[in-house]
Amino acid sequence: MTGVQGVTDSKPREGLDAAERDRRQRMRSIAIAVVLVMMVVVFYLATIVRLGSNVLNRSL
Amino acid sequence: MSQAGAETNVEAGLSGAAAINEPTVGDFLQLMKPRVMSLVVLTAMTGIVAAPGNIHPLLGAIAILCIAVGAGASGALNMWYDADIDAKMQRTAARPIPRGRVTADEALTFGVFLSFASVLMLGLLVNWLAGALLAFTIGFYIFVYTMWLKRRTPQNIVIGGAAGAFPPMVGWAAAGGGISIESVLMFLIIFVWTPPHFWALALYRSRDYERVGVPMLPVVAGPEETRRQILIYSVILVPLAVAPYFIGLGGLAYLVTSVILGAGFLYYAVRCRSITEGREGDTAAKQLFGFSILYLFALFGVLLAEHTVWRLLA
Repeated sequence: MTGVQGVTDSKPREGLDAAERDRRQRMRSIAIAVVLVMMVVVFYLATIVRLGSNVLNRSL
Repeated sequence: MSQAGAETNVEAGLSGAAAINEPTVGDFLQLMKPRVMSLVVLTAMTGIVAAPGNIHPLLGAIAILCIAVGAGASGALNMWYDADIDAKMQRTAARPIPRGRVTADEALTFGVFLSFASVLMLGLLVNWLAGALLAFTIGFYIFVYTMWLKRRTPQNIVIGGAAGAFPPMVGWAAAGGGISIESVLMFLIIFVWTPPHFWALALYRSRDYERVGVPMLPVVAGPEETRRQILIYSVILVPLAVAPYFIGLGGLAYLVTSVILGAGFLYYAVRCRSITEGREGDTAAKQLFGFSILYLFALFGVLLAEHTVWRLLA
């Protein structure tokens, strides 16, 4: 593909000390965790909203 | 980023020598083009609130979130594909990939994941018409605009502008309004607004586009013709933007806003057409570009405010 020519992905990650690299990786992990938890909550709440009162209309 | 920093990146991009650092959360947020997202959120929200019927507020919020994330995914994929030219353009040299903060592969993975996640969430939790429209929007922006048209024709942003015009239609469909004359009219307003908006920018950035071989109208047809086209599109846009009042989509506040700001848009378009030389010419183009953003934000902001008030009073 022409669009990404000249931008390679094999460049070394350089210029950062280990502590800063660890901090950035930790922040990314926390962000991913927050997004995943939010998705679970959103799916749960949306399911409740969509089911609405039908939840109560079931045979016992 | 400072001017000097951007210039350094342009040079680094030209030599292909940007170093890769560990990306932060902020770098990934930048990939999503947050400023573009803000306009998408406003127009999508307007579509949702203005649509007939009552969508549950939670589902409405989820729809806005999905549309915003879908727009962000498009931005990330656009930055992935255009990384080579972004590195050589002053305006885009500070983006995360040219700066060496995020690799192209990371941007691609991020964009693809968000695209699928936003479309699936919108389809599963809200409705599949909205999900399909969002998928079409993302696909149109990436495959039709970014990969096909952008580097091939000066009509790139005329046709490609459709991608940016879809969010209110997606919002309208998410709220259960299907596809109707009102949502198509909102689409058309953004669609016709896009060429004068981007060509005004391209007028004072034409050297950037010329350097990377993107055939924007000022590069291919010259600034004179671009200024003429800007005026033509502006003359079409202004009455079109007033039309929502006449089909009941907008109220009196919208009518007044669209007429007054429409006059302002024409004023800046005429100024841009008549002041063509030197720094003053660039300034006129910049003023039109800045006003065009205010114009669209105000139109949809007033439309949103009116429909919110009508709903509260109903």
